Amino acid sequence: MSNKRAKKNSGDRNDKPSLVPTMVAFHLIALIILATIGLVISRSLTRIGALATDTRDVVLPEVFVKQRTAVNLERLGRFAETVYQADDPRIRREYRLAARILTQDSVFGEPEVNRQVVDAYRDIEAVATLRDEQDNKRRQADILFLDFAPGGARLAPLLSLPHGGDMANTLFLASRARVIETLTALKAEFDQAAKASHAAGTARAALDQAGAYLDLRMQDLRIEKRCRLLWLHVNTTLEQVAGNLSVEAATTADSRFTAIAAEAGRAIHTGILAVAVLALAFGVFICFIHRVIVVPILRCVRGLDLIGKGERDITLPGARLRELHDINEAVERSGTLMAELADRTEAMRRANDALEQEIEARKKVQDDLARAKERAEAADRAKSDFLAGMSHEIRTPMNTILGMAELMLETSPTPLQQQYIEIFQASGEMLLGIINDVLDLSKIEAGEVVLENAPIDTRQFAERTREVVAGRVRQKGLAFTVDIGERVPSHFSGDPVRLRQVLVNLIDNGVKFTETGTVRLSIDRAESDPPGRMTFTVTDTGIGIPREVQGEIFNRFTQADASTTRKYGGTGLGLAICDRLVRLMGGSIHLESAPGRGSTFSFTLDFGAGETAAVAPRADSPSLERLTETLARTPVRLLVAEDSDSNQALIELYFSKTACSLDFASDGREAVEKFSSNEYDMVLMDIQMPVMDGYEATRSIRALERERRAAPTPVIAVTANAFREDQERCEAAGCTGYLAKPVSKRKLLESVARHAGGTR
Amino acid sequence: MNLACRLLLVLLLLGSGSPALADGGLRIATEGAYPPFNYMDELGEPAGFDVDIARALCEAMGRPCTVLVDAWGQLIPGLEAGRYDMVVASMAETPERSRLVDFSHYYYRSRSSFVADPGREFIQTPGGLADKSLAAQAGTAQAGYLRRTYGATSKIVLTATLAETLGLLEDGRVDAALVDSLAAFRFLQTDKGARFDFVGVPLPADDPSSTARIAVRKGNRELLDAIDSAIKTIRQDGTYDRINRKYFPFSIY
Repeated sequence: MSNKRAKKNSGDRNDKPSLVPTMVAFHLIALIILATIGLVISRSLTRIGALATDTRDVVLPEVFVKQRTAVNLERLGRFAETVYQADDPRIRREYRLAARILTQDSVFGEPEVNRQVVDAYRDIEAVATLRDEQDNKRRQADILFLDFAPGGARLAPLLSLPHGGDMANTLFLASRARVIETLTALKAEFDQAAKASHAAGTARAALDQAGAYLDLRMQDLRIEKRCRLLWLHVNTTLEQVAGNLSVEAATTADSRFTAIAAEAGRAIHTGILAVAVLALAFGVFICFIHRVIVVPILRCVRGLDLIGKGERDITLPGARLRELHDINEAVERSGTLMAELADRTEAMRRANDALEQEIEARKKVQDDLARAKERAEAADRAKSDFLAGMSHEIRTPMNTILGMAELMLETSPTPLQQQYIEIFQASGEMLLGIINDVLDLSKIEAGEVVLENAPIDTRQFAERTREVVAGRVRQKGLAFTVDIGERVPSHFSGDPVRLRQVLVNLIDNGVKFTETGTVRLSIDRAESDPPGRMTFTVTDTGIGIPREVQGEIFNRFTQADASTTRKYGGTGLGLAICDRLVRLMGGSIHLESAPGRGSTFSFTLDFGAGETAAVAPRADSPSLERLTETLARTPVRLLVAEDSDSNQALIELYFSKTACSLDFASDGREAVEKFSSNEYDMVLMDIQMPVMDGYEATRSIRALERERRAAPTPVIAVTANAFREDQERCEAAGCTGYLAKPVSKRKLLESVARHAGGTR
Repeated sequence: MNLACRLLLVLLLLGSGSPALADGGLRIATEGAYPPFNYMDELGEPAGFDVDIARALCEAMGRPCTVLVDAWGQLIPGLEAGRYDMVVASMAETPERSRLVDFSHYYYRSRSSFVADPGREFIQTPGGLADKSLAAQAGTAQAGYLRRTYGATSKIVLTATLAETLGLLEDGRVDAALVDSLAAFRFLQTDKGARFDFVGVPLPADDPSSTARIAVRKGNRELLDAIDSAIKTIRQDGTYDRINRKYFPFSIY
């Protein structure tokens, strides 16, 4: 379905215009519109500019010239008036000349104007000439008229004629006449009267003179009339020309400014049109962007919103542009994708849940296991602790029992009694050995054992080991041999106590399970071995160990089979201790055995190089008799801190034949109190005591001594805790010597004698 | 007496030996023998239209000035030698003068005309004036025109001053004189000039003689611009018209 749709859409897609070309096309259209508008406006502005420049450079000067011409024409008219009206011929000449100069003005260069101006000047010149002639006539007339004035030579003859008075009156009126018609009438009247008078002589002469005067007056007024007509003509012409020029100038300026205004108006209209077109284009553009870009984008946004709200099947109306069409499709696709994604997420969530449950279950199992392990370990620890506590508790009475047995042997018993006591003693020691083994194993397993690194003399070591086991071998009637290989170094360094413990255990084990034959210890070194590597082998000719149990015999409390226990006894701890100690020293015990053919235990260890001088030869212990004797001679004041009453009694018995004085304290605090109030040569300090233990008591004693600036009193620790760690703790607390329980009489007396400075 | 005055002034100027005025003032030269444009008044001081215009221009430029008088032929050499800063003497801009000095815009216009006895025949062509004697002031545009146009056919008489030219006409020793119309205007109003009148047609308006300009030293652009600007100023503020009316009843600008 979606495939089909995609195909259909992709067919549409190619028909759709792309965004960028469409936008470019729109921009181009906008640019073209802008450019056209710009072109039109700039053309209008250019035209206005050209008109303005032309107006400034051509039209305004033209107008100015026309105005000037009009002004000059008017001025010419004024000059003409002056020439026409002035009575003074000088003034008339001046203004005629001025008019002449004025006509030369370059502003009258235009032919038509120039013609009219030249015509006008000609008229002005004519007026001037006529005026001069008129002046002449008037002067003559005035001279003739003077004779007819009152008292004049011609007045009396004229008055003597009939109608003489009328004629004189007519003459007078004629001299005042200003208009030619009036004068013509007066002259006719005068001529008629003169004809009727028929005068002669002086009267005739008077009449002739009067006639001549009237003729002159007639000429004067005729010239006057002509001047007036000429002036009117000049004036009218010039005013008309000037008026025309003014109007022309005004018209030119007006038409030009009208043209500019029209052009500006066009520019404004174009500008308004341009703004309108631009606004329209902008609007269309906005509409286009809205419809073709914004609306599809908003639809897409809404679509995405719907998808976000969980809608899956999104269908968007088609977009016009290819890119937006693509976006639409992408949005639609994303709806489908979201659906798939949701499905997958759901599946994954379910898987996750299952996984979580599984993890939960597994974790629970693990927790159970851990708890079980913890419980087991706790039980184991409790067992070890119980064993350790039990051993300690057993050891203390055993101490007394063995001590008593030792003391009984001193009482000269009968041979039978001695035999019983010795069995009694052996059983006690065996029990003690069992307890020590239990204690050892629990210490080793608790990781409380730290190996020593001391120089060892190989032969001396082997010899002393033989001494330890010699008694038991002899009792069983077996042969015991020690072989030391040629390549074995004479000295090496290691933990002699632990190494011997392992060997003694293995030998004891061999002795125990061998009825006849030999038990052999060999120490050897292969040629290819690095220096310091040695192999210890213990071989017996005993009952052997079946193959199927060989792997288990190193476990605790395990023997070859239950019947073995019944037959041979033993705790089954010996081999377990050996195995742990060898492992601790960096090796492992190897067993070769078959039932009835004996067993071979071997292990290989790497030791450091030893030093020859480090090991002092062991001094022989003095005999018990000698020790008793010594202590009887030199009495020692002893403070004995011991909580067990039986042990107190035993110790008292040990010292019974000596001269030593004993003072008992049943706990640490009492010991410290006694030490502070009395003087003692030596202190025997039990470690495990109620109220205050031996360590604490020793530290208090040492502190007391430092306080008193007294010489340190020897303090010998006597403890059932038999490990070196315990010994080190004692030394750290300030003890001078160390005795492990059970303490034999000889050991105790020897130690006391040594520290008292007696035998050495 | 005028001549003596002028000589004295020239001597004073030469004697001073200081061509430039210390205060930045302008030394203006004029001819003093060309009424009504420039002449010596009753007190022996230079006066006339040119002198009034020169002073008005100085005032418009805001610079003090002194008006000096020298012979027509000495004006341009004096300007070139640095004795004067400007010449205001109704001078026309001819091509020959333009090579020596720079000219301002015109400060008045006037066309040249022939002056003669109007009662006699005057045919204004080389043929019509053949064998006639014609006068003009030496070194002027009018003298140049006469030489160019009528030199081959007519007798040309040149004088040092306008007064001498007009004197030749009064005495009947020449048939016509070619003079500036405005300069002739005064003469024609006198008794001596009453017999005469403008004759023929004036010289064309585009002839160099038709405009009067102010000359400055070649390349003195700064002063020239200041003068042109000052001419506009006095035209606009009415100073020019006031001076114009004092001498002529019509505008000569």
